[in-house]
Amino acid sequence: MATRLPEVDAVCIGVGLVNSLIARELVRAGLKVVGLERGDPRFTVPDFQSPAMHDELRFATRKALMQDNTREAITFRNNVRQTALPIRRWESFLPGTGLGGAAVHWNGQTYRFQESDFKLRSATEARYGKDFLPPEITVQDWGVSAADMEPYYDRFEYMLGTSGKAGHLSGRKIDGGNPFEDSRSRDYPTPPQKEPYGSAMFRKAAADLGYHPFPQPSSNLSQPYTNPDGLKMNTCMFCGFCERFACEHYAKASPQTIVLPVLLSNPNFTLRTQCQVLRVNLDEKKSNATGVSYVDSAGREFEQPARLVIVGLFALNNVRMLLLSGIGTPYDPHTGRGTVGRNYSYQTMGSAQVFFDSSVNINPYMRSGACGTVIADFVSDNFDHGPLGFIGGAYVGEIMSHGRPIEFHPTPPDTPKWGAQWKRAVVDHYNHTSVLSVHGSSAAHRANYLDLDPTYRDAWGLPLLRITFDFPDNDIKLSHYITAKAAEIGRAMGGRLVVGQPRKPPYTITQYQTTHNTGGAIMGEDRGTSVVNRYLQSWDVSNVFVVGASAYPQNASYNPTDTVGALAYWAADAIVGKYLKAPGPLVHA
Amino acid sequence: MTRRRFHVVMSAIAATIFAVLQCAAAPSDDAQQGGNDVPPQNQTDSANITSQQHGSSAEKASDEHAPQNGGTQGSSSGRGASGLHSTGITGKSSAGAQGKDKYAQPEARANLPPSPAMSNGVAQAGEQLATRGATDKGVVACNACHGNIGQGNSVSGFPRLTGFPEAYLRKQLHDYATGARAHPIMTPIAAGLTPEQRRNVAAYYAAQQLESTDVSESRAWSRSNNGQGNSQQNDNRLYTPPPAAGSKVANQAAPGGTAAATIDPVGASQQNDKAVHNAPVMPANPARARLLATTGDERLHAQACANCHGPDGIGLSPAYPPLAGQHASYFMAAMNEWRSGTRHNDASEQMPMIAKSLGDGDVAALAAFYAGMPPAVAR
Repeated sequence: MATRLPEVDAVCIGVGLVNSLIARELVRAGLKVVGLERGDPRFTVPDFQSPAMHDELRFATRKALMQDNTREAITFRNNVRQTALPIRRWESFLPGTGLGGAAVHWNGQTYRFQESDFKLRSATEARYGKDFLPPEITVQDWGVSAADMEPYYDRFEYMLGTSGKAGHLSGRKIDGGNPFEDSRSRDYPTPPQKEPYGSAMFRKAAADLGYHPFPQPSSNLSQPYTNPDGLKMNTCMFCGFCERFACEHYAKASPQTIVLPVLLSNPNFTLRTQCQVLRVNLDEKKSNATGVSYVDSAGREFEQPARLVIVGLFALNNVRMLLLSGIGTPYDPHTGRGTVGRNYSYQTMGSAQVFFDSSVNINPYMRSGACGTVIADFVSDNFDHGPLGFIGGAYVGEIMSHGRPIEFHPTPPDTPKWGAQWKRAVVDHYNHTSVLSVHGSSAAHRANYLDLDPTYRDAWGLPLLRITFDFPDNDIKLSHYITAKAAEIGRAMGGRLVVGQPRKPPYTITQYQTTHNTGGAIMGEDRGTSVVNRYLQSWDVSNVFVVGASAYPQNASYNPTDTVGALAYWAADAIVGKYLKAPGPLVHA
Repeated sequence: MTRRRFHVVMSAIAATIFAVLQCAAAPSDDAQQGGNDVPPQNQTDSANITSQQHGSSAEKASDEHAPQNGGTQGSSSGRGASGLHSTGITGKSSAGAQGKDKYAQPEARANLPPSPAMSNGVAQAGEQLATRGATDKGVVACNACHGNIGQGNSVSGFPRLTGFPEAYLRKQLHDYATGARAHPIMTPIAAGLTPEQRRNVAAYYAAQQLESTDVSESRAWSRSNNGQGNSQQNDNRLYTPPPAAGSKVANQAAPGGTAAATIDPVGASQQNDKAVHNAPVMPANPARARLLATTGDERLHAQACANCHGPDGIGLSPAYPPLAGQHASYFMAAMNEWRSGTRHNDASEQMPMIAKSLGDGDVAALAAFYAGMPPAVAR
């Protein structure tokens, strides 16, 4: 029998990046807010300190910071003809858990999406014609523009302290920054991080080929910084333990460093950890949420009534929460009807390994999560897709983030996979190899979607989320085309041997690619093709907001986190500025 | 190659590696000023790039360097695998023309012709400076204050240098000389030395070793007094009252304090002998010190010392000095330099932030904690 708790103004499901930011705005507006986090509370001190944090086996191989898939797994299949099975060990992507969520173990790469990303369908049709997009590619516009998002990107980046160099400031292009970015109102709060040697060689080679290299925007800071909430961050020490790890130096922007100390000291906010939310409770008409039900670590069930519910979990879990709660209509790939789970997208990752001779020392261990140099010449619609027959793009960069001993063993393709020759090759190449990333967009496809698994259930007896995904041909073409460009840069860098590795189908969950799972609860202007409106408000239940990368109609070339933060502030502003004044749907469609 | 020609070549090599290291040790503000052509962006990169530009001479020089200092943990080559700016050079040497010898036995490496610059020259010149100073420049002998093997002086606040990483010592001398670490005693001394002399004396102290009995004595104390704060009875034999923050000793050693100038180096030197006066002190609050050293304090926004200075304060060349076995009086003076800003030679600005976040009691506790650990040598 569930214990019914006193009603609060708002309940936040998940206390990761999204809800740390939104709850901060809600308590600032005077609301009483409860945050429910399934994982543990954790802080820079004592939880993230070295040498314990520099345990590659524990954190990178065994993924100690990730969702516990002995209790809550995800099932996967490539297509509807297959039977999905649970992912028992995270490899392809790494959903976080615990206070601060995946923004504790992220790398800090902090890019803004471009106008051509937000207007992907309309801009593509306008430039290349109505027939350019095949019918199975279900990409669509976001319902917001880059100009709408600019103040929110700006606000988020100033909370993060992001280190970078503007390339387009108040309408003026600036050499050395990203010339393709939409105009920003201010430069980055801190200058770019130091450029590693391999990145410097990339910059020179890319510039010689006529491209426009710029320092990757990094939320591992280049210098001490105090954010607008008065929280201090330190300089990144290039320790090489960033992605999959938490930062011991207060140098990586995370909820712990940018917002939680302020939020947690606010008497209007209550954090409850080890609380697994089962569902959002709805009234009889299913048009209004009454609160949430959750189970604590002792197995006791509670009902937390609330007038407003913010679903701010990892993208995949946002979709599952809607499906478990019966909010919206599940997507049916056979008919194309329904919206929840539709347009699940990912990221199309390729690479080019650049093997130098032994006179070139890369020192790969001496890296930050987001240092390095990239080009955006093949991002989004920054190049002519007309003759190429695909949409989307990729950034290319020398942005190696680590050279840790268990994971990083660059060897040429003809090397045996084990034994004395392999060991010799690792010794020969470890310090003399650069890896160029080809970070590609992911086009939404009608066959790729999320739903509830019919067979497998979690530790609380609820159906697991099921992923049905394979790479669309569009994205494979994209990956081949741009990976070839990356290899060309690698040769210009002086690589003795350059091995381009474009993405090959089928999608596999046994190889790490990226944790940029997007879509399934997408935003848009038409309730027939989106789950939430342009303010991230559920079309069906107006006091539920669903915020995160789940809202992306398709995934862009750049890393998604900056847009997650910007959307969180965008939604928070809509809630405080519009919804609280007149509760109900913010968009009538 | 004739012997004469060999000497000429090796001198050039020595000059090259010296230039490389100087470039690496230069303040990052200098190193960051680059041109269009792959500018060095930080210390590590500048060393890297420079070593490549200098090509095979740097590579040979560093191989010559290794056997001479290879047994000394503090040398830049010896610690290069985990160090920062030295790695560009050692990486080059191990993978370059000498690459096939990289796993050669030490004996084989020792059979290489000695480098005049890096062996006899350094050893003799360094020792001469340490013991006799450079009278023509008014530089007193280092050992007048730091002791004849660099053991320092706990009462007067002169730091232990014995076995310290050469690169760290060289960087501090450079920073004293430039004012990045302004100090009433050390700045005039360092400024009176040429870069080569600074290198020599750094190499000299890096090569010194504490005697094992002294280390084991400290270790015995450390074991029995493992931060639990209940071992005072066991250790009365070694007990020395800790200098409290703000006490006379701390003030004397504090930068800019006029009292520092009154310290008599000769008087201090009379305590010098081969025995090491580690002078273990009772931590003011050992549990608190251990917490700060290994875990940090979230409320103060202070990360653990161990994050950079390593477990048990072993240090990491060139940026992070060993803390284990350092004299408490010097430790507190150094922290006060960070707090006051007279020392601003940490490009990351981590140390000033951390030092300012800690209270006097915390600094005193950490000073006593690390003073009581076995000195970080031969690791």
